[in-house]
Amino acid sequence: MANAEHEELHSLVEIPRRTPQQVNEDVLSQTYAAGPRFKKATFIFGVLVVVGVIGFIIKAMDGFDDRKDWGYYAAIFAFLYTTCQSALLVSITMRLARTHWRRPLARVSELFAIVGVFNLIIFLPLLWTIPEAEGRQSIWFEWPWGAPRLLDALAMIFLTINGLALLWASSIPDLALYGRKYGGFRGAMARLLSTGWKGTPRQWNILKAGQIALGTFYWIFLIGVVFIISSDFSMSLVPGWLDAIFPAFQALTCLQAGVATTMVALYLVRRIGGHENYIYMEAFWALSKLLIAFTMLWIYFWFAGFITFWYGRKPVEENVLQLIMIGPYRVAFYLAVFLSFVVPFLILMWNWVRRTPAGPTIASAVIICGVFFDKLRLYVGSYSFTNEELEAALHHESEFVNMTFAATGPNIPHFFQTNWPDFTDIMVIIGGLAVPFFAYLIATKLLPVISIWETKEGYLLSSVKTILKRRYLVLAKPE
Amino acid sequence: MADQNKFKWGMVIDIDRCTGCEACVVACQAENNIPLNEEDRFHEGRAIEWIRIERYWEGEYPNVKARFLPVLCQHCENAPCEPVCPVYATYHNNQGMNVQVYNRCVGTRYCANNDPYQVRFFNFWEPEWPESLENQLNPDVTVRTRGLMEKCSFCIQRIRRTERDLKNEGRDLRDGELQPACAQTCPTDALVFGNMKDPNSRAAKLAKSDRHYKLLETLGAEPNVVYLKKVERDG
Repeated sequence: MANAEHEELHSLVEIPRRTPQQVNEDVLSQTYAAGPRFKKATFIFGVLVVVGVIGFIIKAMDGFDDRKDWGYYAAIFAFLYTTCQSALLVSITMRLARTHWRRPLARVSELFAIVGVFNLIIFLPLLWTIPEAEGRQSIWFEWPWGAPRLLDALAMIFLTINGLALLWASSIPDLALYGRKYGGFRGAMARLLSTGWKGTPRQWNILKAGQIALGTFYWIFLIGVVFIISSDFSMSLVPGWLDAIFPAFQALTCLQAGVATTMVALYLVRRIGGHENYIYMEAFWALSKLLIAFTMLWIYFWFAGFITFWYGRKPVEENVLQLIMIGPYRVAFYLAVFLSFVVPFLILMWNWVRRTPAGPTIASAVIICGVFFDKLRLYVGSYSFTNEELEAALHHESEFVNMTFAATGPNIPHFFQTNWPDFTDIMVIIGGLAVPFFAYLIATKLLPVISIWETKEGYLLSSVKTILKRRYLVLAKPE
Repeated sequence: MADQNKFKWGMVIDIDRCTGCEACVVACQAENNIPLNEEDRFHEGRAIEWIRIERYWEGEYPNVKARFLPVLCQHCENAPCEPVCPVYATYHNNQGMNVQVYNRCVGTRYCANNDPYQVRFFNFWEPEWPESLENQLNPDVTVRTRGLMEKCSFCIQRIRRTERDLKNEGRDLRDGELQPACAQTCPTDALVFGNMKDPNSRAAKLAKSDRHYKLLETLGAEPNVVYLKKVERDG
């Protein structure tokens, strides 16, 4: 009985097959059509984005000098960066690993490159909220020019362009199909972007090499940029916070959140987008294994960073812990740990849960909420200090320590008070959270959300055979 | 610079000669700027010893014999600690050594988790010495800050200095002229360091002894430290 149950839980997931013509017809027609439900959703999220823009404008009218006002804005940027811009890593990594189960989710994750464009727009004003590298602790030391603002801006711009280039490169065969099938402006754009694709062996070779090169570059770039961003916009803004593992922890959070975001998008595209025939359970099952691994790594990385501070017990580091973990942002911190580790771990530890589309999706949604609270405690807390305090702390650390230790006394410094969101912060948060939905909805009408050529390639390279009364998936790996 | 590929550094430890005096431990502490291990550090399991003497008791009272086993980084060819480092802070160099780059280390401690010999140490505290010992620090060795992993380096500062000397003097290495602090200090000559690529070196010859074995050999880590087992004498 137990064996039968075990077999049931680990048995082969058979892939439903469609003919190449059916794939073309299904996916292209879904891309072209924009039903009333789609229009309504796009309109609602569009309005919410406008609310966020209005919130931003009201904030900007007061200028960028008071950094405390921009903490929630920075947290939203970091949240979108960690979830949406990292989602591309799923497709890139699985393509590099030549997994077959990636095919249904390849485009789903790559479409988040469009969200990256919106996030770049959100990011650029933040450059005016951070101080010059001179006169405070910074990762740039005595870098001769452009640090930190120009280099941060260039890093984000190149990352966004890289993501778009990857999305475009992997969509060329599908764009050619789209351009041939439909006319009008969208058809003309598709023909233009497909750059005369005919599917010659040389074109295929260039496409595959380009995907690998752009994907690898995006991987390296994203990890590098997350090191820079988490240092410049969080760690270096808190006096005395020096933690080598923190940027690595943030990079790991990107991996976990990227998988979680892809999972949720996959579920929504399957259920609401009507692609049940192409997004099958194996993709959820495989992704959920990655997700539980990253979830356990998340707590390990966090604990590794924490324990160093805990043992070191330097007064200035106790202040850092006081600020972001046990002080004013403790609720956000507890929620982050609970939602990023405890709940998803308890959900994903069961194989029978991992073998359902809903189980891993719920865990992923919880993780995304955890990332949101994690960014709030890190960025809102970091944005609590003025430039003068940063400079004073660099030169007179002991005074800073005394000053912050006085937080428990009657003269509580402002940065040890919880910086609750005001009305404009709430507008920015609402708008920021609507951005990925709005951008993704638009993206699904610009490009097929299912990678047609990779799906058809998957059909060619795999089949299910019966050998000795058992069903086996036979995979070809010509690469 | 001398041709680095001519060298593959290794060590032979003759258990038969080791008396457990711990001179090697003290020499290593002094040479490599290792913080003093006070009693509390041992109780907490946070002591840093690049080389340690493990003591075993054999036999039944009154015929009890103490056995000593010096354990240091085995500088494995197939080191389990190397591939798990997410920032390439530890890697294998072309002289057979497992090298730790302090500036890269972010302190994940994966390497220590994956190290079967327990010879990697994490700096949980800022290193401190009594004021009277501060001028004794070796200027050739970086003082590691809190948050970094560290381990035996085969006294790489001595290796590099010797390589420069060889180049300047235009000659080859003489066997035995390069010694890490532990081997140099050992009063019974139980630790023998040398170039394993030179078949005439004392270390290479000893490594071929019938008594040779490697620690946890079945793990397949291929250590570059070879042990010579105890000679059992009648009576």
